[in-house]
Amino acid sequence: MEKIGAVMVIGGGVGGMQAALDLANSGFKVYLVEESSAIGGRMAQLDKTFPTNDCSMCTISPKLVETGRHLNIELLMDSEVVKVEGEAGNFTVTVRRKPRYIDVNKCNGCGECAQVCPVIIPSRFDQSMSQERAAYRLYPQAVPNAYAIEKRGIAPCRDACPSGQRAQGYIALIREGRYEDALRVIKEDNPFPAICGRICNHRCEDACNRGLLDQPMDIRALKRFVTDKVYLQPRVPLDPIQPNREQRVAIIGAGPCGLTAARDLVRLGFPVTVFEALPVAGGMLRVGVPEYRLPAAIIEREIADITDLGVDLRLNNPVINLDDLSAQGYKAVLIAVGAHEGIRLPIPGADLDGVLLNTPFLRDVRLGRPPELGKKVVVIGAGDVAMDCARTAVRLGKEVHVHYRRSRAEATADPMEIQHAEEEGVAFQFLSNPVEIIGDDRGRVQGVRLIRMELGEADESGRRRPIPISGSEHIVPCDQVIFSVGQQAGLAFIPESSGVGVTREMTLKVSPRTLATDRPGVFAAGDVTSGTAYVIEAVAQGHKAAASIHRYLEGRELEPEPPPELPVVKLTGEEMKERAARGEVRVTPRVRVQTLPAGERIRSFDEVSLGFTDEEAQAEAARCLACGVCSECLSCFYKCGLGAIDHDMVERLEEVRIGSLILAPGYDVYSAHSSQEFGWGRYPNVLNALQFERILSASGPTLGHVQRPSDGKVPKKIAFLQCVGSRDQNHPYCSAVCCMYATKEAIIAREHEKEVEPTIFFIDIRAYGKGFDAYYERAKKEYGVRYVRCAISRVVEDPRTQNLLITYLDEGGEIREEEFDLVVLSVGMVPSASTKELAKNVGIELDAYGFAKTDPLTPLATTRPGVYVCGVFQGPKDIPETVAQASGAAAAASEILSEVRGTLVTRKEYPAQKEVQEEEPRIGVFVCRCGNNIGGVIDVPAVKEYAASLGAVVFADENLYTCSQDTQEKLKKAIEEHKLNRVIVASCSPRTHEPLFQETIREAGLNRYLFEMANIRDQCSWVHTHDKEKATSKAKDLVRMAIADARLIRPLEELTKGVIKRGLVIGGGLSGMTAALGLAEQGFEAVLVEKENELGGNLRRLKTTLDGKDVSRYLEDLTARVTHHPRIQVFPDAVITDFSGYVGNYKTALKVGSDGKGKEVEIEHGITIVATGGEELKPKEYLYGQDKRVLTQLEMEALLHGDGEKIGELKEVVMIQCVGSRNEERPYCSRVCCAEAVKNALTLKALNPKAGVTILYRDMRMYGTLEEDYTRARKAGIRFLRYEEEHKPEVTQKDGRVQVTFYNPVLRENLTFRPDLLVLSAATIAADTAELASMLKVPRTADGFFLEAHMKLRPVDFASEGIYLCGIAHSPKRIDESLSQAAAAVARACTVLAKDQIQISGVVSVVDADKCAACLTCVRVCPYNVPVINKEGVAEIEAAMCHGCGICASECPGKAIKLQHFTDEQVMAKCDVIVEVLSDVFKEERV
Amino acid sequence: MKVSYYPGCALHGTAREYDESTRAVSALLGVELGELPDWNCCGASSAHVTDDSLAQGLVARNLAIAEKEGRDLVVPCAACYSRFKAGEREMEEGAHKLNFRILSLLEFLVDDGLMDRIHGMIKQPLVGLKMVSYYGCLLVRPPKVTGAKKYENPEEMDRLLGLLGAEAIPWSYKTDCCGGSLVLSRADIVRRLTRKLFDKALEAGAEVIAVACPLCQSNLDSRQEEISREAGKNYQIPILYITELIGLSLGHPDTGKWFRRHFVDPRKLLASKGLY
Repeated sequence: MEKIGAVMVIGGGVGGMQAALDLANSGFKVYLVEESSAIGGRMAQLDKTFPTNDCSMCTISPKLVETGRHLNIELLMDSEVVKVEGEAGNFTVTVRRKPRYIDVNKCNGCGECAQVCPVIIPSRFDQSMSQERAAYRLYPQAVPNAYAIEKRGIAPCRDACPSGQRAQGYIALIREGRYEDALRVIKEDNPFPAICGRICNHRCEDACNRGLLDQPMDIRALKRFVTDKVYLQPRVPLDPIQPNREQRVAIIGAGPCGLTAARDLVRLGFPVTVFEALPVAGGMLRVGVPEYRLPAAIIEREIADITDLGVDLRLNNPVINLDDLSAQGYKAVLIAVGAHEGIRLPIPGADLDGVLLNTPFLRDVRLGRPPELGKKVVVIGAGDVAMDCARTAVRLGKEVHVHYRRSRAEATADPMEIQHAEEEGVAFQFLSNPVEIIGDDRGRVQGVRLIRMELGEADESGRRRPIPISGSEHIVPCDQVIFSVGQQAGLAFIPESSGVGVTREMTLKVSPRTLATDRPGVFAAGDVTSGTAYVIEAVAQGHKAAASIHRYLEGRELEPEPPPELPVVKLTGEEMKERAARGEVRVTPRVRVQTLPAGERIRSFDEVSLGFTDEEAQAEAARCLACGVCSECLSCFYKCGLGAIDHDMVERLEEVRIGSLILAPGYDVYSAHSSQEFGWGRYPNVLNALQFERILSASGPTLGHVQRPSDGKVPKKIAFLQCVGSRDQNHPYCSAVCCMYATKEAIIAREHEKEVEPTIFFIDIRAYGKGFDAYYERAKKEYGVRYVRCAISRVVEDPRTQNLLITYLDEGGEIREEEFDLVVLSVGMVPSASTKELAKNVGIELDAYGFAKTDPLTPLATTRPGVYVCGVFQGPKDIPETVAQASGAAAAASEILSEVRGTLVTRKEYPAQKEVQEEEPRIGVFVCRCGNNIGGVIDVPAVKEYAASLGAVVFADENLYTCSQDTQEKLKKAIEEHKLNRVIVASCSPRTHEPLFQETIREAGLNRYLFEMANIRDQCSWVHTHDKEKATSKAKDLVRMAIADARLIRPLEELTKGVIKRGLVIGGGLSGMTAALGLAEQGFEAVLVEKENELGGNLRRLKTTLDGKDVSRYLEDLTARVTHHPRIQVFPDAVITDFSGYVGNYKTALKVGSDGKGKEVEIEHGITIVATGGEELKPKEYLYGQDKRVLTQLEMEALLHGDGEKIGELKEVVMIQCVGSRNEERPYCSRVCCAEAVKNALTLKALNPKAGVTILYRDMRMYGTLEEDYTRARKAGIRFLRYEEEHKPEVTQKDGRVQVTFYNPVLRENLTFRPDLLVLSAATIAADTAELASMLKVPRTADGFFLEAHMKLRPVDFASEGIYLCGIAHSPKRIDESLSQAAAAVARACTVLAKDQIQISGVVSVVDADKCAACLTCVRVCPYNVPVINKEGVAEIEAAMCHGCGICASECPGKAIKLQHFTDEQVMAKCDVIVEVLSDVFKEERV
Repeated sequence: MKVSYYPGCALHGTAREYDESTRAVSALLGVELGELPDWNCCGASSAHVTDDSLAQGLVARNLAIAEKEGRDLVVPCAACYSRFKAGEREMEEGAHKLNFRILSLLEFLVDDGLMDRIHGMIKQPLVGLKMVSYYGCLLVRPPKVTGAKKYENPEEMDRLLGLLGAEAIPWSYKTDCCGGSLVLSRADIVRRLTRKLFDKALEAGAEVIAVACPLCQSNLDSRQEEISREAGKNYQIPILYITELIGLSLGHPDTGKWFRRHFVDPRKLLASKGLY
């Protein structure tokens, strides 16, 4: 099988990033798959981190940038894994790439799309406590620094509209008060907004999801409102579009369909002529719909907007013969003549004088020549046109009767129309059918003979068929009869010979998808093909016909391509109820449109509907549910200057070939909706912990001010409720982090607001990690955080204050009710729905809780070989453990691929560097507009001119976006053309963009240090938006400073050093052996040094794991593998005597063998792993050592696996926890003892069920999935009794027995036991490493454990590069945790060992030996212990070890040290500019 | 639509107005209530705490009759409902699945179809009337018995009251105990618990407490005078059945007959709102 040197990491949180970086840095190509639009995960959402209170964002931000920029990490954003085929070493993964609608490579994160996006959604990052737009960036520091568009699907309103009107989009714009934009959105798909705003049959409203809750949105009225607003302004004629095509198109009929097509075709560049038979344009709109519904002025305005574009409209110009058009050179013809001919019922008297047809009647009235009517008019029919006839006749002063053969329910007219007609005095007679028109002797109508009808069976239209009731005939006298029973097209100009087919219904025959008729080049659309329909259908057909003609004239396939598939967001009643229950929507009835009173209406043809007022429109628009989220209003598309928006992106599947896979998908926070008793989502002042984290964050919804949601007041009393969604019946595990984060949040809240009084209600405080207990103690003592040991069963709200009442049992056993201003629920971690899906797709098993199934002896391996796991998906854990596991998983994933290391990585080749050392500075300055971000505030041309005027500047330019891809080329060209040897970009922050520009100038042949940046955005335009003049002036000063600096910068050499591909591991216990074996399996040599004679360390004293795995066997195997490995050299009985060198090149001296016969060995190695371990304390209390019935847990474990007979005799065993831990001498928690005690107790119970076992504890720290073992122990009858630190158990000998007496705070009384054995859970203490630490120059904690470089993100690194730590040397830990950490150390080591050479940055400190006085200042201040006093007696700084922080340079009293690239001269030059600037200012003030 | 109807003893005695209003409203809505023939005690008052097999037997007999009828069984009393649901669970454990559903009257009324029907027939929306809904212990709890999803904060009654046009005020005490089962033995506890409910309802701004259980109603309605004496404060909160409220909003002519039977007569309050 061919192995593939690439790894996929799923999940872009802190774990995924760490794994990706370790792999990419050790020679593997990495695909990082992330389902959201940015990496960063949960950690990016946190405010501070425990126990150091570091800012979470500050710590994670460099990792984000490094991951985002890494040459060998490919980010697959908005993606998820669908399928994994193949086997370890060679997998093919199918990835679903979801559309982001914004091109990540083009977007530069300027945010203008979000500024114009009208759609508001609750912010995901702020946990719904603030709002964001559908075009969004997850958070300001997001990587990739690109926006994304949230689109759930097509809103039902748009889906239902024949013309695809983006109703949700223009409604959102109305809500924002952007009426012009709203009109633009309507006109995207419909040139007749004001018309449709009045007479559309609004299928959008029928489809509206809101109808499931109360009533649908009044979309039509909103549409009309927009036009009312915009049309208040006089129309500004539009510029004509110059045709750029030859082929002329003729359109017959200037109705909505023909004009829509004309507009589309003119916009495509075709010359278009519209032939219209009538003296007016608008078709049925103009001559069919009465003025009171649709004022002519509006129609004229909207048509003018079309004809302006260059449509040649010929009125009074009927087309007699189609062939004439071909003869005139039209290449395509669209027939859109509508259906203007009324239908006469075939009954006797139908052609009497006084019988009118609907369409001619309406047309004559509309064209100002109303026919003479008698007094009483009978209208036959009850469609919309019939209503138009009836209401028109009413307005002409007539008495009107409508007769319809079916019932009211079957009438096709809009019910509102019928109602309005009734209000206006029209009399309706349903189930009444004319059989004859009766004339007088002069042949004039004098009445109608009608027959009554009843409803029979349903006919083919689904309506019940009317049947005449015999003998019910009667005569209704009248002067006029108007038939309104349908309309048809006038097709006289299309004879059979024309080749255009006609159907039996007298419509034109067309192919439904292309609208092409039987005659090539002739198309037909609108009512002429469908019979009478609504305007919006005519518009839709017009678009369709135009698109078809476009394809035809370009000679393309006539059939249209199917549109990209998007789901329609149709909710069910159930979903809507759920949303209402969650408080996301509230019942709010539709805003009613006011109409003219009926009495006024009938007196004129004035519009009946008065439309919305501003307030009404706002209120109605606010009801929109924004179903599709993005509405495709295209505001972003028009705004984006980079062309990054693409709404046509579609989901696609992609195959990726990899060798192994790491899963780091993280978790969800438990949804407290499921714990209804706490009222989350119901009471505004109950938050979950992540929400509170956002409240505390400076970038959060309250900018870090502690405020409660209901009234914005500072909450004085805050209650934290622990274990919400953890340690309960549905979540039988502990979420492992909540005790600490609640403590942290309590501390930070108090730091932000002094008056805050936090109370934490808890079951056990599980402060088991490194430094956690000290943090907990500080919270109590320094910050006054109150801890109350009580699980809370519910929260109730005081409706007047919205304060919250909590009932609990106090220490004295009394029930108390206490009021709090704010309640924070410490919600647990739960596997997300998407991780379950992921597990299925990847083909791994999950455990009972839904976390990835692993084994304590192989904690990083899933059930599928080649697939590894890290982070919370493996089980609840905190950040450092996640990071350690991530590195460990990287080691595991690369171990099986070691032979293909380096085969798929990209190395960048650069052109030779130009020698510019001797040249005069020739500076190029590029001032960035950053779209509007800078350009909208600062006068960029002025800054450019100013820069050009300064000395040494030979070229200055401005760019819209300096970071865009094409601008990089522009930069390179400018460097070439103007022989630039220094480049300055005045734009945003070097934090995000300096590496990009440095890369660009390096590609142009310049040394990358010949670059300087002026931050005129973050530190200028963004903070001085209101004072443009001064902002411009400041920008000039910033540029001048950069120029002053740039004149002095020098190219710097980047050194390279070789790497010795061998690792030294100190300590031969579990961690050390695992690390050595790991290095060897990765293909590197390993040297393992153990102080004792035998390998194994503490593991030799452990027999089983908690779940019964055989530890002894495991140790045996591991020892054998280590000792027999060809690349591992073991030195037992050895101590380190000397240590020197730097990363890649260390030298260590060993003394091997004790008792004088030892020999000296010297080892050269590239990295060092410290795994010196620890041991169990020998207690000095509780009669230990004085009474042999008093044992430690490790001694007990030996006993349990030894003397069976003795175990069987035991009747009573007592264990005491925290012996030597969590006290003044050792203020830390030893972490392993609770589980060790439970393990031994369970083993004892299994061997001797009758034995009574009692564990005396302070807090049972059975974190994570250990909780279940704790439950198991209680079920097995093991007693857990709590004691308090202030009342430690007293152990005495009485009557020859051991007696244990202690005070139990639950029973509030003293208890006494006389056990056969007393087992002490003694502390775990660090090995004695004082000497080693000083040789390695690495720090230790006060407790003697080694101190890592960073508590959160560098858990296995020392600050000195190339030295790593793992196992108990770091802090007490369990077997699986040591295994993970040891693997992590290997991964970190591989990032060095995999390289042939190490690149050393040019930004390092250098010592001027002549000036050095060897005062040791630099030696003392260096945080990395780099400077040494060398043999010459002066300070020496090894460049390979220097981090370039500059502390030594600034502290050196003799100015003997300088930091390259940040020299005193450079800094002073900048300062000089500031001083000059200031003196200018002072001068001005004096003047 | 026809359903089986189990009024239970309370509706034939102390809670006659509940029975009458239920029948009246059902008739208006076109629901035919078929009273279970020859029904017996549900076992709620004492059997279920004294004799398991008797308790089970009492329930089983009623359910067997209902099974013969084969229609959904509507139960207006929360205690009867709880007993029947418990019986149903026990039968399910014994692998017997009933051929009908046991519905509390509230559950039955908030069914979408009936809600629509009520909505369409409202003559007098209860606008301006502020209420809290009170479910008591047994209507939704224990969830294992009732199968209710939202047992901490049920909302069906609120939805119904909203539909009638009343203002249903959210409060935290919907399912707190009123002490109903200690009515005779520990009146002191009952007074403490009910007084708390009155205070909390008043704090929330309620003028009426809506109920769907005859025991809750009588307990809350009848104690107010005593508590007022004890507290030196005048409690006068009408406790109304949901069926009475529906009847009121549908304009049923008999509301006066029902209201007359209440200890705290609601008519004055309703009149002040123009609703009576």
